[in-house]
Amino acid sequence: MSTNTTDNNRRGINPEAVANLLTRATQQLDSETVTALQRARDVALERQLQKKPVLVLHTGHGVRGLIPHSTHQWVAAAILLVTILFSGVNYWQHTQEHELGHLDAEILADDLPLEVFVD
Amino acid sequence: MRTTIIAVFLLLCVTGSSAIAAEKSWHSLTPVQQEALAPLSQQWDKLPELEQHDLLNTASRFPHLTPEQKLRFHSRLETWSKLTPTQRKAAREKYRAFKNVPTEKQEQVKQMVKQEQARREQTMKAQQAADGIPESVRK
Amino acid sequence: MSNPTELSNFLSSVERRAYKQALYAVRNEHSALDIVQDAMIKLAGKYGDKPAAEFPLLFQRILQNTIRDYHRRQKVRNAWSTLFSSLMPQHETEDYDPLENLKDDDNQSVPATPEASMQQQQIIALIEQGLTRLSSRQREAFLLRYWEGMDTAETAAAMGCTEGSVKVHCSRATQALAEFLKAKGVDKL
Repeated sequence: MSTNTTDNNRRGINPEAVANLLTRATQQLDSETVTALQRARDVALERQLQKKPVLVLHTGHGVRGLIPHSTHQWVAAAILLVTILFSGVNYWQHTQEHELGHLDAEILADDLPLEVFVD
Repeated sequence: MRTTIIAVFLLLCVTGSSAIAAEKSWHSLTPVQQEALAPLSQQWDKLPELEQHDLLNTASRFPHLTPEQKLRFHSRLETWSKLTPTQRKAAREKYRAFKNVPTEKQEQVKQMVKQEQARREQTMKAQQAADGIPESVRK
Repeated sequence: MSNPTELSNFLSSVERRAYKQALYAVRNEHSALDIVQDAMIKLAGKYGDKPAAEFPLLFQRILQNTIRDYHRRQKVRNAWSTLFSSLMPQHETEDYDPLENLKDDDNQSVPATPEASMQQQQIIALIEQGLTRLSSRQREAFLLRYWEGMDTAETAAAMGCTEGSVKVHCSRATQALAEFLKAKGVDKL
């Protein structure tokens, strides 16, 4: 255990000592938990591997050809970008409302009475 | 070239935003929409635009419901449309929360609600019998 | 760009502490495991291609958010159970709270190893108990700062707050922990 600084003495505990004891506690985890953690890690790693190829495709492509050169192209690119953004927001709003409509219909048709959900 | 792009862009803006607004009279609704919203036919034209919009979204699910669900949908629609937006929002949150609860818990709650309903119905029947009122039409 | 081995090494180096952190926060072993798994999947799926040096901060930020999400969901669930108990008074909705019967679990479940003295085990149990009693922000700050070994700036970034409040949380946490331990007869550590 490390020696205390005056500051820690005043408080009565040394955070480092606490941390060391906590680390000791992690070494005493039961084997069931340790296995579960290992399994969780494996699942997570599988997800990473699945994603890899997509990323490789992305980085493999040259982006140079996509950069606009003349002012004309810049204007066109800007308009295109705004349009995409705009329709994106529009689309998002639309699906959002659509989902809400779905939910409302579900509530109205549910076998539990409406009073259960309404105050 | 540039003007074409701008024209297309403007057109997109206009068509995009037009989808959001526009109040609709009862007569302008499609037959399917009218069927779904039938219980509201009287008051429809007086409903605020936003509410009409939400209700139309809700009505779009109507054709996909089972006959039993359609009955429930219709019987609750008026009550639903009379709620304040805050009440509706709270109800949606509760409903969502309920759907996140484990299935066996959901079943338990449904069972409890059924029992409660049965009890309420029984006391009501008993009272009606005492008052000499014939059994109500609604189940 | 990191490779799978780097991520694997990072996760195995951090997973036990992460589990304990979640356990101190939610006091339920199952939920703590779920939280750690969720955080790991999010890290691997969303940030698995980041340089390995960025993993610690990213992971802690995800972990703390996952814990917070859990608490939020729990709140809704509890509100829900009160709703139903008020609606249907006679039924057993009380067993709804999964935290209830697990509250004292972590004090007892630490298996003693031969080399660790009984006294040390008791102190560990007390510290763990003390940690569960801190406010969630205090606990977060304390564990990130002193156990994960992050500096104030990193802790602030992981918690999504200012460095100033990290310092305040840390000093309050240390003080509260010291007071708790003192009350239990541990004067100095």
